[in-house]
Amino acid sequence: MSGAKLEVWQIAKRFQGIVAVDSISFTAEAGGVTGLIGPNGSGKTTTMNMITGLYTIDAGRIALDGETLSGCSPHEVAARGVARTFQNIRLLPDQSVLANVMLGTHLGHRKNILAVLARLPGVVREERAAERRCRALLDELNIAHLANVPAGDLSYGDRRRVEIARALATQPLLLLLDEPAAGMNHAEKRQLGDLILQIRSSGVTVLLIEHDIDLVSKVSDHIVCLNFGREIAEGTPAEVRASPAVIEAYLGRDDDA
Amino acid sequence: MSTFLQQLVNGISLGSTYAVFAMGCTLIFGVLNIVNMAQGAFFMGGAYFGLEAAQLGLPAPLALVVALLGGGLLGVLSELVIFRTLRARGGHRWMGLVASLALARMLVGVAQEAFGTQVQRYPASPLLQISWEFGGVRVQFLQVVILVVSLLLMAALAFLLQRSSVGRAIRTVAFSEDVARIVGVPVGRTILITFFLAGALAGASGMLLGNLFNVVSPFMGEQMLVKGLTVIILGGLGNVPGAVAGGFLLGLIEVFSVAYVSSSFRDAIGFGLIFVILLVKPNGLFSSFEERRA
Amino acid sequence: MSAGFSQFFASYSNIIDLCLLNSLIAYGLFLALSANMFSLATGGFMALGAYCSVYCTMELGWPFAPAVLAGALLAAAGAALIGAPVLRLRGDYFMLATFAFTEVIRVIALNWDSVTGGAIGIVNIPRYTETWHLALAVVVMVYVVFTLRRSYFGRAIAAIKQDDVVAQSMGVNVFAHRLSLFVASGFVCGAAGALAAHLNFFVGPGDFGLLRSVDALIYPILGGVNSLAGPIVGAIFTTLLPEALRFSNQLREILMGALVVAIVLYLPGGAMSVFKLRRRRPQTPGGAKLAPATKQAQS
Repeated sequence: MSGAKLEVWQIAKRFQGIVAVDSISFTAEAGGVTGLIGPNGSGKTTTMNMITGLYTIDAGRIALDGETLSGCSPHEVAARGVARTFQNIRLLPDQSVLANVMLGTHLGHRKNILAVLARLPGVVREERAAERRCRALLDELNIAHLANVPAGDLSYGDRRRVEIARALATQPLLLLLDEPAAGMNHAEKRQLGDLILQIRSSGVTVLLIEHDIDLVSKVSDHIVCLNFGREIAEGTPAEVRASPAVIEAYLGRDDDA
Repeated sequence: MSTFLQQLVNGISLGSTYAVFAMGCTLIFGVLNIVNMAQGAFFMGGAYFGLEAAQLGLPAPLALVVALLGGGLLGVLSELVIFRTLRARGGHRWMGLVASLALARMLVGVAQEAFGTQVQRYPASPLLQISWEFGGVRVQFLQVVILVVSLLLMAALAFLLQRSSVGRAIRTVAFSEDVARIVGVPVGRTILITFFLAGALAGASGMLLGNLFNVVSPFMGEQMLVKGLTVIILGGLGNVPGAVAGGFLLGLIEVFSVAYVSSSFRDAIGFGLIFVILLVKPNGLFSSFEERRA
Repeated sequence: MSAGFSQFFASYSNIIDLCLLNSLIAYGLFLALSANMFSLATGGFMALGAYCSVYCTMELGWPFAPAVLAGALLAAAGAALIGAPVLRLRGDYFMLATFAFTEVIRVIALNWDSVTGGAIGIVNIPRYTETWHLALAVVVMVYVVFTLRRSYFGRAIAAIKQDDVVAQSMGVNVFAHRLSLFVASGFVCGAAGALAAHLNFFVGPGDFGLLRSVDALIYPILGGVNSLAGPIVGAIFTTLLPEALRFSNQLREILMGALVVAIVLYLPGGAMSVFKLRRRRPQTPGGAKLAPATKQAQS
């Protein structure tokens, strides 16, 4: 499996006249991990929602492997190979972990309702294959023992893992992670970092939206930093961490002192 | 011309009762976002409370107060017995629809037990028989009274919602229950008061319409509920001024279509129009507010 | 034994027919409810199915089966026609629009005298509907729902019901799924209307108003919208209850109302939730609740 290249050109989004994102451009190289950082309200999640088609963009263009992605509705974006997780974990709490992850296989099924109703052998085979794949995925993420537990009963860290498993079940070319480390303790963050590197090694392009600069620096090949809806720095982790604009954005101005 | 004016008079007095009922509906359905199918039964209950009071010899204004309070009490009852309990137990809002419909049927059953299934009439009052003629247009004193009472109720509700602390509390709860709790609004009591207001408006409109048509029956609530929903569509969910305008509009449409449109499909055209309104302006005819694409 | 059974069957066949018919309607609604479509269009769909099939059998002299199919297809076509615009409406506006649809159909039925018999309705409809027709239809519906629930389609629908943003992000075409379920709901309710018309000798516009639509919603909701058996349980309970309360004709309505209220209050997840109580934790306060729900800040 090889990932796809995401290119974003000067995208912008306004809500009722208030500019949330103002002309952001960056590229997430195929097979790499790109970090998108910035303080709260800097436009990270808005950018992600524009990439996944939840928000229409007011200006600019988004392309996946050179083909325009902007303008597609969310399910079309997903069908193009873009999967995501949510900042405020969105699992179906009543359903088992396995059922949640199986939802990710939706695109892989041949859509034929009559065949489904007749339970044709092909349909049954497809179901079994999907289930096997999901169980293997749970195994890779070390949550195989939770397959039959309702997702609502899981610990926070495990829920994050299930969400990532569900996104991976779509067999994405590009994986968008929206603040996956939020609310995690130190050990959980370290495990998450390892998991992201593991995903990277399987070839999937990762766009990591994160608050925690240490985690992003550890796993990213390239970092883009936003503030107030604008891009203020871009480069390797070391370059971005050294950038005065980034330090100012995170630590605040000293002028008043 | 005189037919036109005559229908205008009839339509306005009929529409004013619709407006009063629909204000209550929109408070519950739109502002509180609760589907209360018993609202029509409160309307019927109010008509009977008023009727009983009038038969006991109370003067009409006092009978109206009885209808108001009776309808309001039924509203409070529905909140205390059904909706509050459901909220506490985490029931889905669909369950509220089922339970409130069951409550409506219970109330219809109680009315049948207590008053019989026969249509009843308000005691004849010589005062209300008075009518005047203005160039071929007959205006009944009853119509004037109904319009005035309706306008007073609308003004009272508007004052309550806009100027009083209760109104502020209701608007805050409507905006967000959580915000209301944070800023110290007593959410439970505010919801209870809203149920009382909606029930009282339904009860009052029951007595008004019962007088206008001079018919009271246990089954009068269902048709009214249909009209209430229609007015909500016209006026916009949760829009109180819209409910008033929509009520008058529906009254006029009904009266004029009976008088002028000979096509047997007039009502279908009316509802078809409402359907189109919903699609084109889902927030009601009287809103300038564009719904955000969620 | 067998004589006893046939005697039992003869005296209760009307009730059995009614239970089956209402179960069929309940599954029609279940399809819509399973994707969060709170549809008041049932009355309209049933009216389309009933009048169309009666027209086919009585005026055109069609055999029964194609007439029922024609009625069901007309209702499905109606659903497809209104579905596209109506499904774009949010929440309660969807409910109000389907209500308006039912009223349009009812008023047309009331006035199109040459086809519908107007306010009087159509009488002396031949009784073609047999108990086994209804039973077969219910069995087919149970199978369809059961099979769909364990397929990708069922998973997609469950996701749409709980969180349609998640469903979209996993590649589910939410609009297409909801539309197809709405059309299927129209088809089933139309078929139920056609079967009902040929069961009762009579159709009239009064059969298909708001109350019909709301009743139809009560069956699956009372039984439980998350359970395969919920619609049947709700429909049979709601149908049998008035019969069971026959001993007190006077208080029947009141007792029935009280019983339904009691069930709703004690089993807010529907009757079938009884079987899940043991493994269920108390509902999270932030979950789906009946509430003066927080309006989205329309900033």
